[in-house]
Amino acid sequence: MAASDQRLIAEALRGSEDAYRALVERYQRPVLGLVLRIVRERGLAEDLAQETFVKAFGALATFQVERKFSSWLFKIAHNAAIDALRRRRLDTLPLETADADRPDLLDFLPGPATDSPATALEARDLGAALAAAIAALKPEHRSAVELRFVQGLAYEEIADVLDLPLGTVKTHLHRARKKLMETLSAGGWQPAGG
Amino acid sequence: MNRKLDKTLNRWLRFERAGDGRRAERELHRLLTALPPASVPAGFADRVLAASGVPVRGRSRRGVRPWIWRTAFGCWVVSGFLAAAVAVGFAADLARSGQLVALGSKLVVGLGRLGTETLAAVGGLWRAAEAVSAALSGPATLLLVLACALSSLMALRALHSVMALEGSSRHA
Repeated sequence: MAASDQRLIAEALRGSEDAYRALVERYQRPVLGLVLRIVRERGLAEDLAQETFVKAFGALATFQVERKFSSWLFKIAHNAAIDALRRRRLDTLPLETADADRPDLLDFLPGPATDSPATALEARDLGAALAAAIAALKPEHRSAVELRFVQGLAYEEIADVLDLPLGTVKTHLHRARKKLMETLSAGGWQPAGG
Repeated sequence: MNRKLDKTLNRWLRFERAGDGRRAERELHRLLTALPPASVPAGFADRVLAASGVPVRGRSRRGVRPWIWRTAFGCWVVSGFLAAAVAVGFAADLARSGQLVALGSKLVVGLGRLGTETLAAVGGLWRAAEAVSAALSGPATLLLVLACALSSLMALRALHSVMALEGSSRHA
């Protein structure tokens, strides 16, 4: 049975390299996914993800164990990504410039394990369309979408990570969903029979 | 998987158009989690640990240069052999002179005999030790033993310094 975050943190603070490694391996994918979703640039995302863990481990002694470690880690990751965006002044991409060949979007495309080449292509197209649609959202909406619909965080946790009121988080998610629906519908993705 | 994706996409779009936010969120969550997550580059955890100052597995004492180990071990062996040879020579001299009889020389002879028998059992090492001690008896031998002991100590100190340096560089 996997050790809890609190137990790993306690062991890490006692100097256990295995505990540090376990924490990284447990959260490397979600952290990288969140940061990549925000900055939309692979190399930068990897650097920021590494920076996130370094900051977290540097402040691990001050972490309050009654808090949820994942939320705390996501908060550090989100702040790092937003700071990077501000430094680079990256704006929301126009939809027409985002396509399936962009390296950052390829990370979110379905793999080869599908029924047939035709359906694999269709799944890949859908994945690319979804990734492009999310990439076209505002940064705060992208964050909310990743945390809610990929990482599965509750509204309250997202509000804590993004340091926003609960109502604002719900508004962001509502608007993001609507925008995604409009974007996909405009791209030809319609519900069958309707 | 793709039929499932297709159905999930359909349900999500239908629920969105119908204004059913709760069900729409559920289907969108299913849709996005059905896609593969971001791939993590190889060695990411190692780089994080190194950047955090946590020692990376595999770079432990094997990182200490082998010649230091060999030098220290060689000094220990040489000084130990010489010390044993000199001690055997002195013990043999004292046993023959009888000066220790009043002070429990029987014990010394007995120990020497035990040492002799033990060394003889490993193939004539006793005779080799006597021959060496005869050749090396005198102040020069003592100086040589002291020099080997001193070099062993210096090698130990160097080894300790290198290990401390390796440890601090891992944490930098």
